Amino acid sequence: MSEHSDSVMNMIFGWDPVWVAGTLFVLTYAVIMTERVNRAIVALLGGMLMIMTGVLNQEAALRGEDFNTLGLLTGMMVIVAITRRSGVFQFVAIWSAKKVGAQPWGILLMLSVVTAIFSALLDNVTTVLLIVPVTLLITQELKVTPFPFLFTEILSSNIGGAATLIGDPPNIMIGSAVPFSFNDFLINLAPIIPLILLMTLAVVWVIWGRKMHASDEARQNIMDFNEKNSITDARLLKQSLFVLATVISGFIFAHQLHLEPATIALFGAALLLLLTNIKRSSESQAKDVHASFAEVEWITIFFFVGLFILVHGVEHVGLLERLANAVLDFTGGDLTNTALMILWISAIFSALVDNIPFVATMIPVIKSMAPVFGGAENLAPIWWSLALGACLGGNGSLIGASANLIVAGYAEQAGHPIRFVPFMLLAFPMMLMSIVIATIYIYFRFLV
Amino acid sequence: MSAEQFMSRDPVTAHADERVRNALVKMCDKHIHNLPVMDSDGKFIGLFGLRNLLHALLPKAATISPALKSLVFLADNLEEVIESLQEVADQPVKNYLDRDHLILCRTDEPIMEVIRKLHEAPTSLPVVLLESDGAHLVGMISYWDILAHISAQLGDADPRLKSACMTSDSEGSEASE
Repeated sequence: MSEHSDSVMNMIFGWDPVWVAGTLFVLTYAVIMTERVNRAIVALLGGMLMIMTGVLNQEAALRGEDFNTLGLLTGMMVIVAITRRSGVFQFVAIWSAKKVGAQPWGILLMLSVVTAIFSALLDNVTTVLLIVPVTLLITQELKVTPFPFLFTEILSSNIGGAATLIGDPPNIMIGSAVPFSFNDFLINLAPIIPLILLMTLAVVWVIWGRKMHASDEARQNIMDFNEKNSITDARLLKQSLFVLATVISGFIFAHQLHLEPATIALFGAALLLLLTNIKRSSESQAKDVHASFAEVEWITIFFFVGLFILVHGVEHVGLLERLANAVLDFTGGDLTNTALMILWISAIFSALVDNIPFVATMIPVIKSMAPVFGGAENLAPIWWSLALGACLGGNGSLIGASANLIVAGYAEQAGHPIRFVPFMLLAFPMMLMSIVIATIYIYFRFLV
Repeated sequence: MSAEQFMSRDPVTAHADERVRNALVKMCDKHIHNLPVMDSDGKFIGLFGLRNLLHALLPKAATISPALKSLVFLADNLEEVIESLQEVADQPVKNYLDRDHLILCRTDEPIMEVIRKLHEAPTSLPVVLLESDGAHLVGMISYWDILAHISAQLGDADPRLKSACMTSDSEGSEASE
């Protein structure tokens, strides 16, 4: 990307672009953190002001947009929106609950593993939207408190999401910016995820699992569920699973196919829309396509659109390079120190604020460190640190990740509210435990 | 012709703290679907209807999430439903008011607007006087009230329809006789 073509042309009132960009950036992030105004509105407003004040022109702003992130998210959201109508996710959840004889601890274990696997292959928010309602139904039937189940599902979704390129927005952004392939994530990040999940479940067992109990009668209620009945549309099921399999194979072979993940995901979305609409009337097609697009989380997408412009603005005026230099001064330009510092800072930040803006900012910062470490190819340990820190850090508090808030919202509606402080008292230490594991992993895998 | 002219006056009501059991007895006795619910000051605070009862009988998860659209996979378990009904029956009606879907009608609204609102509302329409200290219930309008009122104006054009509709139940009103 040529930075010269983005040059500042018409700064209004002759203001210093560094100050304007920096102020806009800090103000926008501050307002996002207050959560008083919807984050999509704030980011979009901040991004547009970056253009209107003359820090960037429209063309330059567009170069800041990462189509790979936007396209991949949108494509996967459309595919999942259509797939879930088939009832397949309910099927898997009920099937797994019955496999363990409807024992509460077994169900918690199964649903957590299912959550982690789904989160690795779909986005976390979608996963919990699908799993949590079934969990609430099952816990109500079992007459057990849903909190340990929901708590573990939150943790599992963020842990599972860390495993793959498509699992969590930070990974999508990192994969696109570096660029790393789907397989790079599988080879470098996925191996540590099962251990982190296992340790988390061990703690949950000590706190709740060993004391869990449900009556035989309540368990029988679950065993009487007929999960096959939840498949409401067998044809749709086949079509969706076919497209999902195609898309995931596409990610795995993306390098050989010379394709970017966004292309594959959007192709998958278009293909599934085609398969499900082809024999319908044009009126019914318009309705169905509209409904499928409406399920895309546009708040997230427009949040990204604004954020990319904001970050490109501060990057363009050279602020992020200064930040990178400050980090390097602090770590003495040592790769191990830098990587581990990024891991811990990412984790703490992501627990307290949204990890998406944090990662969006850190990407250009880390990129500009390449010369110090002898080229972009030597930055890999820092990228994996950023990914693990940002994804796992989301477990530190109820506001650490969007999925956490979705679960809390459902729990509240179901009459079992999850409170901020009690959640954090348990989740934050468990998040730190996962970061200790990640530290050891990154050190021995990439730094010695 | 405004709402005031075809509403049923003096509807049967329930108190906010009244048990659901008691409210259901009134509803079954009078064959009415919805009871206006009043607080201790006699202010109208919402409707308790058979739809609210059905909502309360469902598992919580099914009422909060679009992801659980179908419950066809559940075992056919009547005891569970009976158990839920007994639990709900001991609760005060105020726990089951559906404020999100409540549509109110003012006394001076024209008939076409009343028909539109009834078409939109899943329940009968409470007719209220909105004052600074809250809503005062003055009557209820059900589908039947509308039909009875229109058919009363039919004259001799359709005597069978006229007499059939005019003698039908008028929901929410003791004055239906």
